[in-house]
Amino acid sequence: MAKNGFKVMDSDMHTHEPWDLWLNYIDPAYKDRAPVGTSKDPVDMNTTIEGDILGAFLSNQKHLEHEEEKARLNISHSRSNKYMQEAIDSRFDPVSQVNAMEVEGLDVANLYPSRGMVVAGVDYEDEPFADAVAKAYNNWLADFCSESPSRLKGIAMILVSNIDNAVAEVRRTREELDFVGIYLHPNPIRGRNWHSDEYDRLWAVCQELDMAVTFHETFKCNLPQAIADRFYDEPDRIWTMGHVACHPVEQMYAALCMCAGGVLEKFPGIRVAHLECNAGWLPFWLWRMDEHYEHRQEQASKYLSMAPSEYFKRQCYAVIDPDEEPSKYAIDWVGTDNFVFSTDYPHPDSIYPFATDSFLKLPLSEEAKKKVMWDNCAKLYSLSV
Amino acid sequence: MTKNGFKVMDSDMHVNETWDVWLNNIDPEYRDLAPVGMTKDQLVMNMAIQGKPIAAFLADADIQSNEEETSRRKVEAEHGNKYLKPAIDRGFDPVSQLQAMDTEGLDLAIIFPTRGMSVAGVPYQDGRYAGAVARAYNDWIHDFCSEDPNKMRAAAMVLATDVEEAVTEVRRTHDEMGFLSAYLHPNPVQGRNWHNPIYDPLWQECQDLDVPVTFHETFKCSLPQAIADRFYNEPDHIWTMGHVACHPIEQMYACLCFCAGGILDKYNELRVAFLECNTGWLPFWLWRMDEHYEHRQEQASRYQSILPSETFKRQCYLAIDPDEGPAKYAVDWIGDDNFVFSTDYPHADGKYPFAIDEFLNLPLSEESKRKVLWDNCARLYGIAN
Repeated sequence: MAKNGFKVMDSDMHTHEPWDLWLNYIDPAYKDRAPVGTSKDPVDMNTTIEGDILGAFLSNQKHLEHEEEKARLNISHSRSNKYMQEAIDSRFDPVSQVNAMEVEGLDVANLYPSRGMVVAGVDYEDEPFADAVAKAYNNWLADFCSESPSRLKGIAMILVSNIDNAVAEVRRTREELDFVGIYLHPNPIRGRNWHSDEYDRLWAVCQELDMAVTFHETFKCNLPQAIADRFYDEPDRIWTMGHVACHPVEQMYAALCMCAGGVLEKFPGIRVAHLECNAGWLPFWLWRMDEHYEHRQEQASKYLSMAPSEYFKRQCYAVIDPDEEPSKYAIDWVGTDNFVFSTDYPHPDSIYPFATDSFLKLPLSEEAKKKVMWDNCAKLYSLSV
Repeated sequence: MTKNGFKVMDSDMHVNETWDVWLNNIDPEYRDLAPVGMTKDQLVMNMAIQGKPIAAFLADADIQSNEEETSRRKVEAEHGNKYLKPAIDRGFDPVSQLQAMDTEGLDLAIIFPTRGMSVAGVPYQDGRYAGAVARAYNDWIHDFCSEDPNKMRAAAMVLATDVEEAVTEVRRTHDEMGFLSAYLHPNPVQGRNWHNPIYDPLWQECQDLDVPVTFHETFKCSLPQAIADRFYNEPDHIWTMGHVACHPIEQMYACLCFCAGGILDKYNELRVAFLECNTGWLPFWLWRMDEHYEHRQEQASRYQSILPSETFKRQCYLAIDPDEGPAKYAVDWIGDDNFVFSTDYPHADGKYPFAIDEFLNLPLSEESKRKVLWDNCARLYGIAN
């Protein structure tokens, strides 16, 4: 299928995982510590581990007591979305996912979690437990994708508290589950920056196995969230200020580490994507990285052989939101080869089922639209479909 | 005078203060606590209080020597002997400042500190002590500018630890000294966000006195520096990654507080500028604030009656770097009324004495250049044309 003559690949479509995913899939040794939903409601993605709710601001008493927030937790925005009733009724099962793709006009979708985002946003002290958490999700996702393997593509949850475990899970999800990429939170784990040498073996295995490295932040996270976490104490502003900051700022940090920190110099074969964080910051951020590189080239030449923006152009991708008009500046600055499309289905701030329609109205050339909706994304995830 | 037919106002020109400004000017009660230069060198502006370096990263001796050496080499290599020599020979005194203005082609400059930036970037706990630190600088800079008050006008150092002290100092520097602005670091002080109602008297006073609030970050700071502080133990990355983040990210935070946090809705005649932080992030940031505002308008309308971008257009200013290519996108997005020019003299990453020449090469219309070089800046600082 195609929409308005365009083939469409979603770089970042979400599942709504069942409340008991980990209960059913985790290594039985960890069953009593499995992450579980706070309710069985298929719209409520709040999750606890051993009774503690995940998402730093959700554990803030002031926030929980906030009446409106309580109401919102119970009746999510998306529930009122009449377009999702069928998916809600079928508890977001694989068939409903494929149906949503039909409605939106998507040919292929790369799948990311919702509940799993929250579960992955923890700096796990217990490394074997983290490994079990990731494996459970990945096995569940493999089963989910088997509904339509040519259209539903798995992206592995990789938790990096223990890097050897992370490397093994990249290999397993590629070789045994046929996944096409890995996803990481952009936030630092164990206080390590992404250009820390300790991660070299992770990038090496992704390069070897042709696995896309993708970063995706989530609001309900227990990891450090620069700027955003300054608003966690203010229920009225948690969305209108905290969420403004939370996705892009940590992604700007990750882009800085990958492009200006030498990772992409060392691993010229990996492909990196920054998802759900807008594209409009790129001209500014790349220009600023380059300017600083040029100003201290004698220092930077120890780990970079060219300007940071060159690495971005060679190896990186950012997502254009369907209604993100300032993305035109990013394309003007960087060119059309580094951007992909996403629906963000079924999240409350997505514009499903009008994401494709909305994107097609952006002031971009037909050629740019074609590349963003398909070619670039196929290149990112190395799909020849 | 004019340059290429343009009158030019520098929104943000720096002094290189002598090492002993606070020793000589602080209230004797606090002399033991006076910030002092770590050296008497007029090119290395590192400061300490009671032997402890102010900038967090300078506490590491390796980083300190690395940074000092690099920044000195940079200044010397780029323009030390050639362009800054007359100022160095005169110890960066007021006459040298005026000479530099003539060389660059500036008609009027708003003067900001260098050592004082570090000194202001301290999380002071004692509001009276902080007040004494600010008064010492303000008295000194007042003398400095009295060399030619028609060409040099000071921005007051205002420390927000104690809001009553801050209000008093805004009034004193305005009423008794004719200062044209109150300058603050964008970083949170005492863990307070800028939209905290505790600051209302400060914004009220600035609005009543027609004193614009200017935010300016510095690298050598010990307030929280989101993202930047993750690079502070990596000598080779401190500039090429830490400094990339330190100026704009905290300014994006302050901009978020003012435009989306309700301050400018309440104080709708207050003028605010965000200096030395680039402009390229603006289309993306305003678009994202607006999108979030619209998505949760029922919440946001409790403290904000119009779109965040509307408050920015009505009341805010950003400085365009002389060589900042992506600035064209910011001007394209919101028009040319909200941008000012700065030289950043005499800092190592400034373009002096070619700042104006560089700026004139930017792809902006002649009309936009005229506004940025003079009209907008005159409006910001309340200067009759």
